[in-house]
Amino acid sequence: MKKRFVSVFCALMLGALSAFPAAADVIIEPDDSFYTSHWEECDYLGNQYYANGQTGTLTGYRSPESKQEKKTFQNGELLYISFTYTDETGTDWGVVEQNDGTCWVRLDEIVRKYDSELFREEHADALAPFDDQAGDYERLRDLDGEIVVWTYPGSGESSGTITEFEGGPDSFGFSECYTDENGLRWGYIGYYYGWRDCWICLDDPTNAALPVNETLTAMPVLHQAQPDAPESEHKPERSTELLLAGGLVVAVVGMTAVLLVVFYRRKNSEDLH
Amino acid sequence: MIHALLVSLALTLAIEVPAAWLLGLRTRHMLGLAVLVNCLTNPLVVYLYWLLAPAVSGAAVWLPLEAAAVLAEGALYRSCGAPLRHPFLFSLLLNALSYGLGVLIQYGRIL
Repeated sequence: MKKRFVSVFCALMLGALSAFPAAADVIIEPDDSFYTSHWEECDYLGNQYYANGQTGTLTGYRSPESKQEKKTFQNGELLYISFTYTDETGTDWGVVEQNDGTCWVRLDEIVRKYDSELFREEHADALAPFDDQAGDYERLRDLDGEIVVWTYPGSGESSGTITEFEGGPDSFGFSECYTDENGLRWGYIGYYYGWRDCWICLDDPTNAALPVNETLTAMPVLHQAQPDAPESEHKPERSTELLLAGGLVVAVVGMTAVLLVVFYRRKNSEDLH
Repeated sequence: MIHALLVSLALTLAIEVPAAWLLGLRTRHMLGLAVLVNCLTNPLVVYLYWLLAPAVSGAAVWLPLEAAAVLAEGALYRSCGAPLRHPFLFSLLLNALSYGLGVLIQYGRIL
């Protein structure tokens, strides 16, 4: 009997443990318990946003459903949102991934950072299909010095440099070309050896100090801190829920303890007599 | 939160009470004990997990809580006269079963 008991237990434990590696094998997904249990209802986003809470700070919650506070961000802090989730009330939430963990923020309290995708949407009319009539590929391949890769034309933000350019019409080639207000031509590569959304200034590829477009890079207007501002609408709801649940737990545990004493401890004492 | 507490308790009872019957608690009186034991520990464990999870993550939260639940339930089965030779092993088995099935259900592998 004992052996059978232990065998069954071991089999069940193995079965329970085997659930974990399968959930952790997709490394690009956030290590977040709510995401793990609701991944089918989440949509990929993968963009950077500025915190923009109504009162000057943005609250990060444990999950869209618990509303328990986990972290507070100052407005203007840059956040990476990997996946979104829409709750029962239709509110959109995004999971923030940082080195010290994850949390969930409301999407209506963040502002997207200007990036290559927005640039390409706004400048769709000015983007032309790339053609290599000027011999850009050969010139870049033969270039001495490091080629600067930009997040978008005029961003002033480099995402790295390329020592030996290997792009060409067959692989890692430019798909679009853009000419900026200074007459500089820019080439766009969607993917280059792990990089996404690469822009290279074709006319001045090694210059790391190209002019910045202040209009595009301007920080969006964000809510300012208000000392007398009312608390977030979640706070009373959350504290009430916390107290209510705590009260319910105490009541259930208390009543159960009484029932155990009345129907089991007393009866067993009587049985002994 | 309250919804989560109720679902968790209902799920635990649905798994552990039939399992307790299969493992030897055959009388109505003893199955009632299994229900009460779970009503005592489950809401407390779920509530404490909910409180502690933001500060401490993963197994550092659920492992001590589950271990405490196993010990408490084993002690209750023993002190309330459950006809079990190994009440702590019995409690460990039931909790492993409900936790394992809970994980599987949460991950959408069964339902």
